Amino acid sequence: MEVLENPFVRSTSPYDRPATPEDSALPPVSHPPPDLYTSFFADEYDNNPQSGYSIQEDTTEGFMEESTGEPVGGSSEVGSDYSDEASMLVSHDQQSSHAVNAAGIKPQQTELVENSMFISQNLDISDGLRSLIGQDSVPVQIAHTGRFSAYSQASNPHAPRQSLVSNVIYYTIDLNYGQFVVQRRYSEFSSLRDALCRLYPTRYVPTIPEKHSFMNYILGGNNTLHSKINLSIIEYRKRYLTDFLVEIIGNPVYRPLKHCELFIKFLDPSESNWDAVIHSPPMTLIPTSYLLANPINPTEAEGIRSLLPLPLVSQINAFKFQDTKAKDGEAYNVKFAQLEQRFHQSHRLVRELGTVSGKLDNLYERLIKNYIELGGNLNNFALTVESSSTTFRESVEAEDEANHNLSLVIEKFGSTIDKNFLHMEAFQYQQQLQLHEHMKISIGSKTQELLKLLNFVKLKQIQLMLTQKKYQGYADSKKQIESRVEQNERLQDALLRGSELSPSIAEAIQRYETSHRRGANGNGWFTVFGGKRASRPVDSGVHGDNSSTHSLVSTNSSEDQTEAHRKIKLLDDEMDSLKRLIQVIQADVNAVSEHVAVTLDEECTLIAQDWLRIMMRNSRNIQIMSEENLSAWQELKDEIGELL
Amino acid sequence: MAYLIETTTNNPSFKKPQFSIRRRYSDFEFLFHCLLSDFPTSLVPPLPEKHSFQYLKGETTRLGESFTAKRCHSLDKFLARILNHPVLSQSRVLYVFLESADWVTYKKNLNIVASDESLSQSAVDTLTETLMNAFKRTEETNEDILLIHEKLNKLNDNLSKIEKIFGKVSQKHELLSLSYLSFHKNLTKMIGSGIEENLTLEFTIFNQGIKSYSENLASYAQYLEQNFIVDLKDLIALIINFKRLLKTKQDRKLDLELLIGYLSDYKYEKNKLITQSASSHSPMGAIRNKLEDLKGVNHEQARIARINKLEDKIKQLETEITTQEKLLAEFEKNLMKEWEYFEKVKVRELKGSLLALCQFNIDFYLGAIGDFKAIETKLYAKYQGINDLVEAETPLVKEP
Repeated sequence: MEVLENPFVRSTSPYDRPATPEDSALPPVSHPPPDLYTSFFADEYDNNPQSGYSIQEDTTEGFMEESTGEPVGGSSEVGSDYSDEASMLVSHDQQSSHAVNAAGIKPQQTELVENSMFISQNLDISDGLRSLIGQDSVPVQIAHTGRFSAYSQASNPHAPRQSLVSNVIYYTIDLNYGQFVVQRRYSEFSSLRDALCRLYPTRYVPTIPEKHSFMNYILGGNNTLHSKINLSIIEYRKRYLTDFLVEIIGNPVYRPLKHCELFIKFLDPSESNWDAVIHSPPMTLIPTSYLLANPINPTEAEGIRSLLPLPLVSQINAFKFQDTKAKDGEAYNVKFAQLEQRFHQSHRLVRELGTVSGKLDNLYERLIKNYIELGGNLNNFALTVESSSTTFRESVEAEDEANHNLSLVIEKFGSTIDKNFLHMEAFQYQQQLQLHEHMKISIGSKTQELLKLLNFVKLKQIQLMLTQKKYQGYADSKKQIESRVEQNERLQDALLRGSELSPSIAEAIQRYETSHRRGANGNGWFTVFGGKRASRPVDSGVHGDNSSTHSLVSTNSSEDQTEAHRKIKLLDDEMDSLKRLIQVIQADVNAVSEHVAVTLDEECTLIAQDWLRIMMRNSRNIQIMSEENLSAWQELKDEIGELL
Repeated sequence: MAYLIETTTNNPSFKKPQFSIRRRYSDFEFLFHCLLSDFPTSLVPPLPEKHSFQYLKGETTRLGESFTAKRCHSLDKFLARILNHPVLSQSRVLYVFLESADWVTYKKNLNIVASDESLSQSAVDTLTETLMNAFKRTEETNEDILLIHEKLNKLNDNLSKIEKIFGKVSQKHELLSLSYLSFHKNLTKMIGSGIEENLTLEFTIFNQGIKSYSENLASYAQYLEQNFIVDLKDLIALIINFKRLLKTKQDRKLDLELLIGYLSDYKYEKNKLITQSASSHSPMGAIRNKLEDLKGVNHEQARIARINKLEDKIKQLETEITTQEKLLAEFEKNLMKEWEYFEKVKVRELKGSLLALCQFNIDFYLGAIGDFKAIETKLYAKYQGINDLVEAETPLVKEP
């Protein structure tokens, strides 16, 4: 069942969000009898957004219906209680407290375990799912798309949700596992992928189709005139999303992804509240900025990385792999630099080839149209030839037969042309899918994603560089302070000795001390550590009194010394923690480089395979079409030989 | 530019069973006009059109070559049609054209007939005639001929449409060929930049396939344009010639009707003269009587002389009309024969061009299958190789 999709409404309308206050203010919907459902379902093509029930409410309604549908005694009571809770839940949700939501759902589920078979079935599913996903080839596909918002049949809890009224397109994932299906929205796919990317920042996660752009809305939109475009977009997404799942499940390279708890939950029909899954551990354990997380195991809670500096965009753009002086990273960096260039080139090439194959598609389409026209005209021609044999009075019999046969041949010619165009249509469709689309996705989008991985490496190296710089800065300041302290001590010794001999020196000392103290007091901590003002020439304004030079020198300098020592101590602490941080990030950089290098190697192999596959499929497609057309023409030739 | 004509015959009137000769387009033209004037009631096959000079300018350019190829194909059909015609094939001029080295002198002797001047003269004649006849139309009464006319029109319509669409198909193939060529160029660029170094060989193999596919598509377009479409166009030209023949017959009929009109006029006048003796009240008669009186001619004698004169004329006209009627009947009879001939030519030619088209398609697709099967096999070997490697290496990463 395919229904028009309204991308604009889907992405930005209130129907896409968790229930709005108006919605929750409505009383819980009581379900109409099943026959009403079907009649509503038949009207699904009407684009009438009458109601804004979101997925949250839908699914809870679904739950309720399951539980009320069970023949277990007392379950209807539970159901009605539950429906109240459900609306409460929704209102919780509005306050965007996902954690509450997630926590709130759990006890309900356990409650339901006792009351309905449905949940125990789900437990079976989860177990089965795990073992199923363990296999290398899982027949997974997205079977339907449509605007489903509620279960239609109470008897089968895993039947597709069907719509009363909804503007949200659901993709029904058919796992070929029993009769169970899961329904997920595009945004849920999107959040799954984001989550996987965050959980495995050094891995490549297969891509999903891009979001509809505003231009698409303008072009496709809600306009029935463009329904064909719209449908083809849904078809495209369906294929693409299927590929996404098949890739993760089927490709051994992505084994860690498919064993990820999150992915299994995604395929689990009992996980109806995907939003809650996304806003619960392990996702909540990942720091907000992925740059502050452990790049290999982002959920690991380690405070030290929160001290990491966050690079600026300009720094990434300016960064080149060759520039770095990271000792261990260097071997990788040469490789990364090469790969980076290669991915850029591949991406550009795919775009150019895409333009050409788009042209080819278009030409084939036009050629097919010509063939269709030709087939019709040949049929007319055959009729004309046929009539010239039957209506002519004095015509000879042999001539009659010749004309009749010619007419048959022309008819056959027409049908050969028709066959040709059918074969060509199939060919063109396959080409579009396999050559154009496959190239765009498995090479074009992939290289783009791999460049992002390389950017991640860059970011990590920049973080290391920044940290090292900071450490160097601290070390420099420390050295400066130390040398000043040392100098001070020496000077003080000398002055103490000198001031006893000369009053002018005593005055100079006093002047120096005063200004120094002012500097220290006025400018604080930073001035001491190589701040600009500290190095300013000593100010001429001297306010201190001339007496008790000795005491001043001694007290001030001793104060100064303690202050300086305190600062050195502070710096030492900073540097110690920075040292540890550097060690951590250095290890991170190495680990990231290593992991990304492995990922890139794997992906390069996959890209090579994909290139080969694209070329092979292209060759195969041409062969298939040629073989089909060949037999059609061969037949025609035989027929001509026989008849004429 | 001369065309080589090779003849194989079992006709004893030729000196040798096998011979060849070179003729220019103008020679063909001469032959055509001879036949046209010698056999006005026969369906003389049309010559390929004289094209504007821009096509002829460069015989070495692609356009020129394609033009020559097309014309050659048409001229070949022109001769084949003549040779299959029961009457035209027996003409003396054809024998001379095919065999004799004396063609040039023969041509000179007949120069007056086929000179350009006389041609243009006749063209002007026919033009004025058609202009005059445009106002006098005669209904076709022969049902067979009406049927033929209708059928020719239908065939003409059908074939013109089909020919036009094939033109589009040919054009699409040419564009496809160009697109594949730019695909090929992009791939060449990629191979050159060494993005997928490990696959250089495979890419080159595949790219070669794309290139030859592009070339094959171009030759497909060329085949359609230079053979199949030319065949269709020639058939359409034959139909148009047939229609012209019908028109000629119609003109003859018109002439005959004119003669019959004159005849009835004379007869009317004669009758009037005969009855005039009884009553000569008409003012014209009175004036004439006065004139004759002045000349001193006997009224009665003059009248009889006039009647005799008219009778002569009527006799003349009657014989003329009977011969013309005979001729017209023959023409119509001949037209039926020509129709038979046309039907045969139509079937034979359509069969021939369809068979050729089939064969071309078969060859085209066989070629594509052969090319890409070989490519696929080679690519698959490499693919398997990579797969084996990957299987040996996985798993590469510890799972976190």
